[in-house]
Amino acid sequence: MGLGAGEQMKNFWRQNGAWIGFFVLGVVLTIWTGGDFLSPRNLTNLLRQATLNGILAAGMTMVILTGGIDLSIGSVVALCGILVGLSQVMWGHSLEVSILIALAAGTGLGLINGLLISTLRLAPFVITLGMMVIARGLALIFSGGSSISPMSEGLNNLASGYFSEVITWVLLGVVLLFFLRHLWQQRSQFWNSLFPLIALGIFSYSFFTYRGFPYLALFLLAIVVVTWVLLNKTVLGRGIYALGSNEKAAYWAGVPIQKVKIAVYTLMGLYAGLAAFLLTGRLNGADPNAGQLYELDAIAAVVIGGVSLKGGSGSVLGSLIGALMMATLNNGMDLLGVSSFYQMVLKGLIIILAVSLDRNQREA
Amino acid sequence: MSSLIELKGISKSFGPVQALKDVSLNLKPGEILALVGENGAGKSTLMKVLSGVYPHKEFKGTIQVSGQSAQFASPKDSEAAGISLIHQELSTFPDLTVAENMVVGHWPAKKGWLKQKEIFEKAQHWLKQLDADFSPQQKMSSLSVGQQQVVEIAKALSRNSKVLVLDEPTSSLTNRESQKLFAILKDLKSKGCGLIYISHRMEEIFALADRVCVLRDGQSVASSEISKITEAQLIQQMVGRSLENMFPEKQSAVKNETVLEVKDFVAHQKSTNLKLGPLSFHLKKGEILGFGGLLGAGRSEILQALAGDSLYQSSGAIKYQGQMPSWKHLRSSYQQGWGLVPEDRKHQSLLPSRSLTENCGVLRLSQKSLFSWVKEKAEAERTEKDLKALKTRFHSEAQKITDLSGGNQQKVIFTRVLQNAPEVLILDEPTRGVDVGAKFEIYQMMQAWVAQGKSILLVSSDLPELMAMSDRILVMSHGKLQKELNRSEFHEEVIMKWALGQGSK
Repeated sequence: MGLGAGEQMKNFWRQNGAWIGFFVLGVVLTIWTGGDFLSPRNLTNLLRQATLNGILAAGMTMVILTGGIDLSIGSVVALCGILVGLSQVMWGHSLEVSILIALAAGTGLGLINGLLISTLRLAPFVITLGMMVIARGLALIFSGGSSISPMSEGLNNLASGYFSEVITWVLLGVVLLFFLRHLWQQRSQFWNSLFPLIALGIFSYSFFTYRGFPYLALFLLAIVVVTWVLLNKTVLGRGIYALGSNEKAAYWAGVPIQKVKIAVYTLMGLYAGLAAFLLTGRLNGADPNAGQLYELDAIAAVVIGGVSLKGGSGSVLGSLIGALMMATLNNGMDLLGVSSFYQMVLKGLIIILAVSLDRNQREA
Repeated sequence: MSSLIELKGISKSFGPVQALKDVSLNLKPGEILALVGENGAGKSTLMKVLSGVYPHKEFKGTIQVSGQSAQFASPKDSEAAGISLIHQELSTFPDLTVAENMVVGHWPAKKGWLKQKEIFEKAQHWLKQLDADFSPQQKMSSLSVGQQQVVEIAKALSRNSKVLVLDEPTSSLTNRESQKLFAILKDLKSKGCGLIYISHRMEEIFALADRVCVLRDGQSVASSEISKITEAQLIQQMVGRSLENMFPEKQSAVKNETVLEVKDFVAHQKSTNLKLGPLSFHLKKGEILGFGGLLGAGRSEILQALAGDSLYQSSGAIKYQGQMPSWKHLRSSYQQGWGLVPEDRKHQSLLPSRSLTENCGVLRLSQKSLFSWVKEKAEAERTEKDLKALKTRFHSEAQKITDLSGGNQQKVIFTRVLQNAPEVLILDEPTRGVDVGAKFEIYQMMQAWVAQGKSILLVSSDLPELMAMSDRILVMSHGKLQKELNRSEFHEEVIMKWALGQGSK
């Protein structure tokens, strides 16, 4: 296929724009902080900070790809978190039971969202807005308005612990193997994999010189992989993209539109349940006011990652970079001692800048 | 007499496609000029040039209005110069009143406050001039299409338009409404307006126009006084060859085996209260059964209901391959070997942001359960193979479907349906927006499919196409079957008569 140089350049930018932005940001912060940003400890922390938003962004990717939106996830995280807290503190459940409760609650709430959106044929914006308020209210009711702590040691450890060196080797080896396989299949477009490869190298180095692969990051990795597989390798994924590309055409092609919508919001709920479980561990407590604005962070990550808000185009890997970028911003500004008030303003500006550079969004 | 409008040497291309090539045209005051040509000949493009939809930088050539050269940057400029375009599909605001519709974009206001009284009186004045039988205070949605057209004309007049362009204004009018429209147009002509009238209907052109200008493949091929040309000559000029060569020779593949039998099928769409039927017919293996009728006769809709479109509640007996199915979803009929190519390719078929492979596979894959695996490589290979079999022109299966031409897009949609190995194909306007060459290929494909034993239900508003391809034609009007015609009875006039609901007279 003979593409012109200009076309190739455009293509390169489309594929790598978000990565380039991420790297530029990283370099700037490294210089600015006199190298602190690039320290193994900080990079490990950065990945841990990106985990929750990354998991939620993965779910949000699927939702937005169908042309929908889910505003309820912040509240759903809070409600599921409260249930985890109750299960750990009040009912004395084991870790396994607690996580099952969180996942089941999140899935259930997502399923309700999906059922309402598909059967009532109402706008996802409205339904999930309603669910946002309802779930927050339930979180406050179940908790009596106050936070619940402390969590069991097991849960704390899960949220803050690290894999041993051997397991870190194995995990990174597996990731690298998949990566090389992908590289081989796409060898004509080798350049498109350059940046992810560099990032993988830098993070691997950090894990080994600091304390190993964080447990939290494994959850993020697993969710991203699962989402990628769903989107790229299953009929559901094809349905999601078709639905977002042109819902009417999807209808006439016999795509089970209602089922796809239900699946997408249910998965989003499941992911929110997992995020709630991990958040409770990280905070060592459950707070009914937790998760405020999480939905907006997730949407921002997805949008920065180049997923079209109209639906139909974009990938979960893009959203992962979006989440990393947001975490980098927070982390870098913390290092620089920028007050959190100014951080908000800057974050907003970066979101607008990132989106204005992206072609997908401009069409939306 | 000087020309109202003079277009000289207009050329316009879309990427590699040359839509107009050195076209010239002039219009005098008090003249009705008919602009004719096949679909895709460039009529609409030319009128978009005239009305400023394409700014003057985007085409070559000059426009003169009343002897003065004009450069339009937008439709607003051309409107200010006295040119109004009345579209085929009216762009009205159904929830506003007639009077409000007439001032949209030109609201008479004082310091931001609308002058309600002036709006109303102005509308009443112009509607009276046109002898309208409705009030300016009525909601636009309460009017018939013909009445809405009158509003559009009144709107144009109220803006001092001297030139009116009407794009197939009668395509969805009843006979009486058309007659009324003609009276209005003749009246405007006597008042010195210039009219450009785009139509496919020969009898209208000969009854109304003073001159006729023929476009073919983006070029003006002829322009003559209407009194100096015959209908046959005009058609010859339009198609550029005699009609016999536009279609492959009809080869009947009808077998003596009934695939589908429909009895007293009735469909009801609740949201719009659209009632269709009753319809009874049978379809033989290898048969192409045509559905004729006017726009809005319910042909597409009743076939969609038959295929299980869940928007409709339907009843009646369907006997398909010896079974009596009652399908609640399109997917159920697709599973049983039905295929449907909807009429509006852009809105009902294309997945614009996705690859050719995804566009092709979507229907077949949707039959499987949501969590089944998609083999990307096999999908891509299959797509390449299937698209090549239909002689589709494309670079790579990873291309976006919107990069292809209309004809090639349609082949992708055919591939989508064919991958599901259908026995019964519903083809709704399969050649709409497709160039002449690709049309011929599509006709050949249809013949090949019936030769393989598939059966086709063909909906087409293109009468020559319908007559050339069908083994039988069912003519519908107002959702009901009017007449079944065998091949020996095919005749444009007969079909039109039944389509207008006047066949029994």
